[in-house]
Amino acid sequence: MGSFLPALILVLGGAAALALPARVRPMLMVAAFGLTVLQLVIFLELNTTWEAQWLGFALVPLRVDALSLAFGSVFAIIGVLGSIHALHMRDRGQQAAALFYGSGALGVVFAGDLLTLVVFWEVMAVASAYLIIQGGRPASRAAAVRYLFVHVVGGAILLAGVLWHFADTSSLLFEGFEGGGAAWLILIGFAVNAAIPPVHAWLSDAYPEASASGAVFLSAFTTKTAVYVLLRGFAGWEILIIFGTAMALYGVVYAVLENDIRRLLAYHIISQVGFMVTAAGIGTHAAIEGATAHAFAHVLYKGLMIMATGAVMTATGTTKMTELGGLAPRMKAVFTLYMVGAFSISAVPLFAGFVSKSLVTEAAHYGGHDVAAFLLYVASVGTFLHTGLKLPYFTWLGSKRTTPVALIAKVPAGMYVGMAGAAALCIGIGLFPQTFYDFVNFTGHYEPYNSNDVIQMVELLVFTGLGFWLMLAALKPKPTVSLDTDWPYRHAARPVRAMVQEPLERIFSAAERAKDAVVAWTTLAASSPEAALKRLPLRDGVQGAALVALSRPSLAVAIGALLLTFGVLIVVVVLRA
Amino acid sequence: MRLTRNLAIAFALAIIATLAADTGLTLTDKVKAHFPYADIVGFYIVFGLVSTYAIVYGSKWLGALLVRPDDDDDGKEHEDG
Repeated sequence: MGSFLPALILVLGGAAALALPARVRPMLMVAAFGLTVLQLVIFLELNTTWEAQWLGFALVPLRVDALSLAFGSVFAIIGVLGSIHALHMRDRGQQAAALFYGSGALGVVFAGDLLTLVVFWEVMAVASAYLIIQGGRPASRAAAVRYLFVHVVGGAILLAGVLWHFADTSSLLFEGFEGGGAAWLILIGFAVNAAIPPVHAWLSDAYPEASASGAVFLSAFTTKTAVYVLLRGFAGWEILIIFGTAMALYGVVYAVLENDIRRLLAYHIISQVGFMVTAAGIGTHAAIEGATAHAFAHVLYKGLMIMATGAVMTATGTTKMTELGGLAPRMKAVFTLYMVGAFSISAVPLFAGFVSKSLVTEAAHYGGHDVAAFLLYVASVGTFLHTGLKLPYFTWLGSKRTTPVALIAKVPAGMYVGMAGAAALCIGIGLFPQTFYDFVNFTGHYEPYNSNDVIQMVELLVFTGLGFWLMLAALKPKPTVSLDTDWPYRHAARPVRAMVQEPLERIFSAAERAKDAVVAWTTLAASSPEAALKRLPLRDGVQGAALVALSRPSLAVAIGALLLTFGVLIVVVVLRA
Repeated sequence: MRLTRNLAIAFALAIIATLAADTGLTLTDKVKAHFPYADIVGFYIVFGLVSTYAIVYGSKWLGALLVRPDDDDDGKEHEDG
């Protein structure tokens, strides 16, 4: 029972959202994701596989194993929480897009063949771009166009790789790749969605421009499906260790420079995904399980933090730390719930991140990658510094402002419920790690709460806190924006505009002016033919003759009839000859 | 000023407590190093502080090249629904 495509419920839900009235749609979203959770957690059995033939291709649209089930389950769970967070939303487009986006993510993780994967990959790209377009912020549309551009290019590279792979092997099955040109193209396609530098800037560019509700879905699906496909297809490719650790550090370095709280969290998605990409590169069984656990926990705590910053944006109308500060007394619940997410991402003991992140660093150490382990610890310091200290300090605490930010709207009740649900799961995972490991079907045994790891992590966090306190002035946000690797294609717009758009615009505006002149002259000619004739650029003699003709209509008609008769005669003679 | 004094006391106590815990780990032979020298007593204290300085000042140095003033005066903000 329950072995139909997990994406199906969400596809049907998305289609229904396009037709149903506004009062029904919020609950439809919760129900669609909720039913998917039930299907995945209760009914769908491990090692279920569907095989099908289509146009001569052997396809596997459904493959259920521990890896796909863990990713699919957390996507459905964050879908439920995100839908509750979005209960106040009435935007049909965003609601349908969120459901289709979720269906794309589930379609990818349960795809056993590359063709099915590519189809759902593109569903995700289009639906997520629509979520960004509908963000309602001034820069949403432009950011969505850049986002779509990057993902269309990434999708095209992926498709080229898949076709090359099929030409080489006559197989579309999605399994571990050994190497070769096709595999490298597929890896680049996956790397775009994983936001691996230098193809990462779409994330910090686009996600902060989504709506408060849309950003929750965005933070969950695209990068984590990319992590899944890297774990599935490229486990043990050591180049991923280099890129993964670079990602982990890149995100924290850029987060220092950020003034926008949602952009800061976007950079921390890149950083956290770096841990998972590193684990994919290590490729051992422990590393794969560690990355799976960390992705699962990350979806929940990052979703929680995005929900909380969305609540701040809804309440204050701003996301810039230079305009925020001192909100804690007026937004106590949001602050508290945010801190649960912040403690989780910072791997504070008893919170979700502690029981998942340590699996990755342990795997790096035991896999013989001590440099990677060292750099991941540095990234951990940066994570706590920004998400656990800088962001909450300058948003909720901070120095007293002469003009504190005004609360322009109430935070909807659904937002609190969504955040509370995510916070409960973050704490639950932290308190009951073995239950969590069982839930994600771990086969290895790991005990996170040992005296060594707990003491070392507490030391690290406390002295990062001391460092923050000593460097408070240097960390004070400034009203700046940072240049990233999106600079070339942002600026490519200028030459494209100069070479293509502006000449076309000149042609169109000239045609527009000509049309206006003809209309104006015709109108004038109808009311005053003499005045219209005088406007024509004719020689004096011709213009005089025309004016005489106009003043004697009968003569003009006679001459015209004569000319017409001669014209017809000439044509007839020519044709007969 | 009072907060500053309290924080100073809290961090001083934290240093003593973590050094004691670290020493305890070493004496009971339970210390586990994830990378070279991580088993030295007080390693993570130094690591936390030095990493924080490195991240902040490294970013600031990079930031001198990469940041520009935010002239995006976007009066229109997000509204859901």
